[in-house]
Amino acid sequence: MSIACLDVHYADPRTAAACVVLPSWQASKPEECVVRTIDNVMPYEPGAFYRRELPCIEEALNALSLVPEILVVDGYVWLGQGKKGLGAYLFDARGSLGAVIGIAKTRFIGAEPVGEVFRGRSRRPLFVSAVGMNLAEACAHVEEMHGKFRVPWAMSEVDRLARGHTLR
Amino acid sequence: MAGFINRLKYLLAKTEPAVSSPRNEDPLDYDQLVHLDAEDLAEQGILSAYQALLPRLKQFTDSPIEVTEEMDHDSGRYSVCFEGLRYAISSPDDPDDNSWIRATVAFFDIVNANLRNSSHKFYALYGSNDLGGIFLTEEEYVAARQAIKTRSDWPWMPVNLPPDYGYPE
Repeated sequence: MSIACLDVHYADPRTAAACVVLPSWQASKPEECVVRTIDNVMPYEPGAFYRRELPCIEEALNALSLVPEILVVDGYVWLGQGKKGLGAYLFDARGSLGAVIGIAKTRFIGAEPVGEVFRGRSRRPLFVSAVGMNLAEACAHVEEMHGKFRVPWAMSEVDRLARGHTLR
Repeated sequence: MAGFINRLKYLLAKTEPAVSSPRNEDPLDYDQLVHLDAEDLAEQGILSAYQALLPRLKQFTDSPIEVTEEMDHDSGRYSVCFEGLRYAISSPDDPDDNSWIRATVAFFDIVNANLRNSSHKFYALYGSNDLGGIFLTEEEYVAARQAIKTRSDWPWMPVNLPPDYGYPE
């Protein structure tokens, strides 16, 4: 099983999308990492964040040699009242995926269904949502991801990769 | 939460009629507050926060200081280095967990090392998960401390001096 953790960083004038692929939820080393610089990023559209983020994520995914079955994004899958978040749009766009899991560091009022996962010594939860996988199972996987801290190592790493690339 | 309450207080104060003394009006512009979060800094997040601050820091310096991190994600050991200095933030052998305040001190030392030739310094507001930072001149800093009634809402400069590390309690 391959799990791809994804993040996008926007910094004028450069945007970068990064992907870290794990062979298992507990893995402490990536199977593959890619970072792509994105040109012509769509402008931010309030309420339709996915329109800017989705093409960037797809560009990183298309650069992989592996074909991940599960994607993990920084954000939400569902925004509440059936409204799709980035994760749900990504699930629809990729077609053959097993599941998309969203991990958000901040609460989005009204988002549901969302599970809370406490990691490390933190008293603040991560907000987990999922499509293609039972929410309880998704929460259990986020809990078991490698790293001693609140944010799983792979999610910190992919953030670091994307951010670092925009500064080059 | 403290930031939000302060912001609310500030907005309410602005709409009050002239009965309130101008001396008591909070002079800080909370729109300029950079949210940091000491927990995020301590959990191997200092360089990320520094990189996120760079666009604003470049208003004060043309050549920001280079910062590097040493980290072991298996043990959680974490240090940051700049200008030949090394700040140990967290270590598995550390019996008392002061990593949040150590990360706070390190971060403000790094940013302020960039501001040696500037009229501004980067001051902390609040602490812990609500930690923020704001660029102020010395005069603005003094005026804020005179005008803001609650000491814990004062801007402060994190320093490596236990037990309060500069926090105005």
